[in-house]
Amino acid sequence: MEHAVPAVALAPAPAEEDAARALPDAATVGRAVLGFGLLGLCAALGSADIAGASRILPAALVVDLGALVLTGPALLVGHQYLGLDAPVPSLAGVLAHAFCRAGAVALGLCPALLFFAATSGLAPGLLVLSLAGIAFMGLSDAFTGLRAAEVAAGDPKSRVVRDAKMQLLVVGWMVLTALVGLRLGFHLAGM
Amino acid sequence: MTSIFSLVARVLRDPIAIVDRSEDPDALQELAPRLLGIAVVGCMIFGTVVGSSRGGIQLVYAAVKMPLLLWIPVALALPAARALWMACEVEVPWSRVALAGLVAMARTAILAAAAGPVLWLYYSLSPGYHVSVLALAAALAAVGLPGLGVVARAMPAGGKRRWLAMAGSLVVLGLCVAQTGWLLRPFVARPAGEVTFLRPIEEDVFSSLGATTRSAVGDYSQEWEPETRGMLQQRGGR
Repeated sequence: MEHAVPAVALAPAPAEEDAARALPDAATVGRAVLGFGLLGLCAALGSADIAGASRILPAALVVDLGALVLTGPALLVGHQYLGLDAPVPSLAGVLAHAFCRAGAVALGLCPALLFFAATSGLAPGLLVLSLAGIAFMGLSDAFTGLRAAEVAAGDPKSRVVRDAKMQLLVVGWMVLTALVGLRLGFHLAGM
Repeated sequence: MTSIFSLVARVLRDPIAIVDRSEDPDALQELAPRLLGIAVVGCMIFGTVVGSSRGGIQLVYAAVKMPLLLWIPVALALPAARALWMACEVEVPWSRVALAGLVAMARTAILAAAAGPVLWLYYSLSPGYHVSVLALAAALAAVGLPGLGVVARAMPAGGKRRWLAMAGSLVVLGLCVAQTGWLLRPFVARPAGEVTFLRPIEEDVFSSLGATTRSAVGDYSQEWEPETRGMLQQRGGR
């Protein structure tokens, strides 16, 4: 039985697109940072020893924020080098929104992860699984947003070429971000 | 009483119409306790049937624990589900998420109570312990899916990558249900074992499921030795 539920979030209107590329406010960023911090804390609480807990505690924040901070500038430099048209602040806004959404998901996962930390030894594994899922969601979010920002900017005649260049650039950046995130994760795991 | 029965009928026939009333605070105040009551009663009936596999005090233990098996995972998974839907650009208010969760719980409980006689009939044939546990898991999965469907259909239209939010929510809820079931065991008591309300917290559901599956097919080559892990288990072990 299908029901017509009132649509709250449909395809973004131009004004909403602008809002999606503006930098998020401090409270939104703070909530995302809190989400990643708490996710790590919840997993660390289930750790058997202090050494293990101290490694797990910062893992979520370091892996996600660290990968974004380390690779975001490379994306912006590559974007300028390729002569693409989207304004740099709008690209930074898309990345910041992707991070904030990922952080909100991390915050939502905290009760479940705390439950597993309290009742089983699965919390570290589930933290890795959560971070992988959050990263996939955040990167695919960024891919869509960055492409849309480029397509919306500049001369419509060059849109196809710019879109193709942007896709290549963003895919390369996504691979780099995933690899940097993995490296940070392995470093925290002592590998 | 009549209104409770009509609510049960609406939960089964048109659950989304109930969820659509989430923006009305009066309706929410009226519906929430009734839905919770339906969920508790339905689960207790199902729990009694599950306890009948052993009989005696296990009838009461299983009936008391069964509502928690539904309530705890939903309470743990709903924040994650809402965050996932929000990340996929589907704006959904807390009241709608909470009511969808309650309707889903009530629907699952009603279907579980209705499926009780089938499970009772099976248990009356005295199947083995491990097969009985697997039958319980299968019955819960069968009655839980229509409940999950309510949550999925209750989400507003629009957004991007809805499948991702749905898959993520399912994974989180599934994991929480499995681990909660493990913590609240035994529902099906071992024939020769002592009947207890709760067993000690040890290992996790996945290690146990592997051992149960091996035992169900007659493979006893690997002995299962539970280890102490997790925050509460460490506290309990000291």
